[in-house]
Amino acid sequence: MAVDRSSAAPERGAAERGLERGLAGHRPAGRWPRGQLHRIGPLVVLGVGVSALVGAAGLALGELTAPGAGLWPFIVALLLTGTGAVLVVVDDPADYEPWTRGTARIAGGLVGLGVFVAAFGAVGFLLPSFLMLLLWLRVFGGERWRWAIGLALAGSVGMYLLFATALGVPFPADVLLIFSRG
Amino acid sequence: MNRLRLWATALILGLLVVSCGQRSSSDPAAYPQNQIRLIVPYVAGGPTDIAARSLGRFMQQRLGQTVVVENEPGASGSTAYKHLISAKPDGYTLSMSALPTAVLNYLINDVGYTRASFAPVGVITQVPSALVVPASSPYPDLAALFADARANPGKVTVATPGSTNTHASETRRATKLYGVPLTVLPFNGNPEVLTALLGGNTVAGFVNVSQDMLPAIESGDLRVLAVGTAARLPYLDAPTFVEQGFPELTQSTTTFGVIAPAGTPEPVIKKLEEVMRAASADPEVVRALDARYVPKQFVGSTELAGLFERTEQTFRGIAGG
Amino acid sequence: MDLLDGISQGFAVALDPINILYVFLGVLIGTVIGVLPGLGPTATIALLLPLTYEIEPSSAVILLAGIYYGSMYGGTITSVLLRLPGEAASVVTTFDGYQMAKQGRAGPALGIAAIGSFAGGILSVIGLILLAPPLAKLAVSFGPPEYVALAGLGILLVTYLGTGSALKSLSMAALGLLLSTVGQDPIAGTTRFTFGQVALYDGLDFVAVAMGLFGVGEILYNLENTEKVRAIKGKIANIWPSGKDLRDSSGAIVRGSVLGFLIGVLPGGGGVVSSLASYALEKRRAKDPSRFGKGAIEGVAGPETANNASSTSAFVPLLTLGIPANVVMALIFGALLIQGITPGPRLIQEHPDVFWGVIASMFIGNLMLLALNIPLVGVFVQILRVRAGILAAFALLITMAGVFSINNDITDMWVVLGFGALGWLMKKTGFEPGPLVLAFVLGPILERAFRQSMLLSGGDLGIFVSRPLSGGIVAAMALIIVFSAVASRRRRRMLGRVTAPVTDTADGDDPAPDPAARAASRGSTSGES
Repeated sequence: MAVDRSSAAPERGAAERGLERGLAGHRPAGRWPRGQLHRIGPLVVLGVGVSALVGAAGLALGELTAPGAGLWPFIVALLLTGTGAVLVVVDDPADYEPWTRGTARIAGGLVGLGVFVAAFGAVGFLLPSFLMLLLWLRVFGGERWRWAIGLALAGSVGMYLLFATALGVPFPADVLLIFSRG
Repeated sequence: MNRLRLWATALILGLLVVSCGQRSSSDPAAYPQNQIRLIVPYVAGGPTDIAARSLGRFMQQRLGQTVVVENEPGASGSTAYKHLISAKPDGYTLSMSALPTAVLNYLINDVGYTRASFAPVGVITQVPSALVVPASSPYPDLAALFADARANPGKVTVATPGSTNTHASETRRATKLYGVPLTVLPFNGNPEVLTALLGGNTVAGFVNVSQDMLPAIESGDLRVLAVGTAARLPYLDAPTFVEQGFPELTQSTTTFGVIAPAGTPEPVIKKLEEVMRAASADPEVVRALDARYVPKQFVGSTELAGLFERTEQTFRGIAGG
Repeated sequence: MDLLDGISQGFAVALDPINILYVFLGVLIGTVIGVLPGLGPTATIALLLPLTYEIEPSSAVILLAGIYYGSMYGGTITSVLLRLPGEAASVVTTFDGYQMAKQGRAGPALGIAAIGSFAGGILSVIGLILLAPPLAKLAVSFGPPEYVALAGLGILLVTYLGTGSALKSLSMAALGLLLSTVGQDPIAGTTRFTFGQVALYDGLDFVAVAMGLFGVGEILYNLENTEKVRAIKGKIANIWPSGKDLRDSSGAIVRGSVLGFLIGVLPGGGGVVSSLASYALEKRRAKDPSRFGKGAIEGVAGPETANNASSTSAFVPLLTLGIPANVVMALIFGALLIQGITPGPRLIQEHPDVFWGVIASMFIGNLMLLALNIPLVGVFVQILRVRAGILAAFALLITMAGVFSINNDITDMWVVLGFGALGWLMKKTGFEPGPLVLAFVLGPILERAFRQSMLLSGGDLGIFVSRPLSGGIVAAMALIIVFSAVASRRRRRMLGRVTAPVTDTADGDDPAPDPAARAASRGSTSGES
């Protein structure tokens, strides 16, 4: 993958750029990706590729005829690193969408889900799912409190009945149910 | 530490222990008083699973408590074994186990358990293995195959249902002990090995002579060159490795047994052992398990423990391959 | 045994009222679990296995088979409506099916999927009856080198499927291949990239990865853009595919049936490769390939048909040779074993009622699926009317619970979460999840088969061309590469650009698409709906 395709980039002349600006109205409101920010994506890919290369090399590589555990991951990591490297140079910024305030909501969503999974392991299904539904319905879905609580209750109990009771999936011991057991 | 705090802590801890442990009574003599969980380390429908369900039904009748069979496949059984040993050793959580695979797992990788983590209960079935070739194969017997292997190293491929399981390891043992260059060709499960054999994509195969392979053997699509047991099998007309000059190759029989976490009280183990003994004599159970695979002489917990140890000694150093 | 004799015997079995009940139950249960993420036919059949002890063997298989192809259809529903692929086979449907739903065309999408599945199933059953034994023989001769070629072809196709730059698709495919190496090495058993977690010894679970990347990623993405994103506004146009839709899809359906039938026979081939191949074929054949990824109905019709056709033909190796083609077949095999029947070459002689009964009931089952799902399409489409926030919350919970239920392992939930974050990031940066997921599925096949081939040939790379079957596939791959390189050069020239040299073999560059097309093609900047 040695050929440098960056020569292709300047060819996107004024016409294209005008087209892009014209499309700006279709984009969600927010800042444009500044300058080189769009390189982050391929850089991450590159980073993953390189660390995988190192990791694979740590496993026995062997030879083509008697491959070790690391040979295939090494080859694949090579491909990943290669494409990542090319993309760092070549990638088209128009692919990227701007980072807005909404990004914070997503981080919040992720954290919330993380808490859910951790809590699920500790105290079972009912309580964490109720809280999680509540969070998503109220904060992210913008539902009114009554709706949110009602739906969260129905949802957590309903799912429990479906998965644990009807389908027999062994959820971790539920803190809310411990008292009901004889 | 302040004595008050010490008492408070003890009290709280005590309460916690009590509230968490309400599920099972810990009096071994009164076992069982609650439902029993029997873990199957493989997917439903396979031989282990079938054996577990038959056994489970029998145990339920005998012990008067529900026996729940749970499938927890993954990592060649390691996942299930980890769940087993993290459960309380009170006899309410048991697991099926397959030897030598269970031992091979921890010889090759760090899987978080060794045989010291288990309290073996007893054996339910034993399935022997055989070296087979497709019907169209040019080799009339084992000697011819091995001769060709010695003459052309790398030519004779032996398909096995796993890469680190019994058959792969036993094949490698054959290479190491007798200097016969056999190439292990690992596949994922018996069906793939059967496909490879029927399609002519491998020279030979080393498989369990279990219910899924027998039809092909009986219909003539596969020929058995050697069987890995000490004595000939009554239901298969084929010579053993031993009688063909390879007395060491008797470690390929898969033993399916029941194990409990180490530390399970002796009386509980004894009781389970009794139930298993009765099960292996019960005609219903034997029919469900397939009489061919039920050992004539029941193998109990002490012998199973011995088998674990012998298996470990045999395969140590070979398993990595 | 006369073919007609067999068929009539089969229908006698299949039309027995109790078996009609079983097939109905089967497709019903199958559809329901197909809809529920994570809970696949494997888990359900495993759950129901003990129940089958008590019933007739033919009834048992009829029930279980119904569940299997019912679940294929159920998976489509969530793929289209929520971009949640229930199984590997449904991933391809998310490309265009979900876009159609966003355009208010969920009804036609689901409708054409039902019709296509029906057609694929029926054609496949006919094929099964006529061609089973010779096909089985051929399928069995597919050895490791052929699988390498097939998987390689699949990866090649995957890089063409992205609507964006082929280079980015390739890098995502590479990432997918890398992720598939997590777990135990298939030959030596050494653990790779597991960071000491036994839960990862079997690798990352596909459903967790796919749910995360597609479903959770999509939900997270919508969070950012939601200034109260409303559900599909306005009247959901037709609930039914229009005459034009049917005409457009007819070719795709026929081609998909054939493809699905042939590929499904291969042990381990199955839904993924066939739906992938069908999608790629339709995209290649279309006069305007840029429609794909934006709601082209052929992109739903073809793969869905292929998918259902392959789940039917997956029974071929089981019924004729006693070789289960995938995990579900293995379970059905187990169910028969419990009954004392061992599927094998002599099944058709020893238990013709089972053999023909199952085949006949597939006709009925497919018919029932169609009848069941047609009215349900209207119902399912109403789901989209639920406010997006509520839908998202419930979809998340059900995904989490469903994923947990696969292995009863919390690790899978973390995996979903992690890939959800990744999926969102990928959407923001213009990387496609499709190639990643598909490469993830094909990776293990490719690696294992490659190493087995090397063991077989003693290290000789020529084995891939010297064997007729794999040689043929490799030749096809070469043709595809050459053809598309030439075609894209021609297109570039036509757009008045300086021809850039082709950089590497797999890079049949999509000509730099114009930004308008690309922005619209991702189509999920939901603000615009």
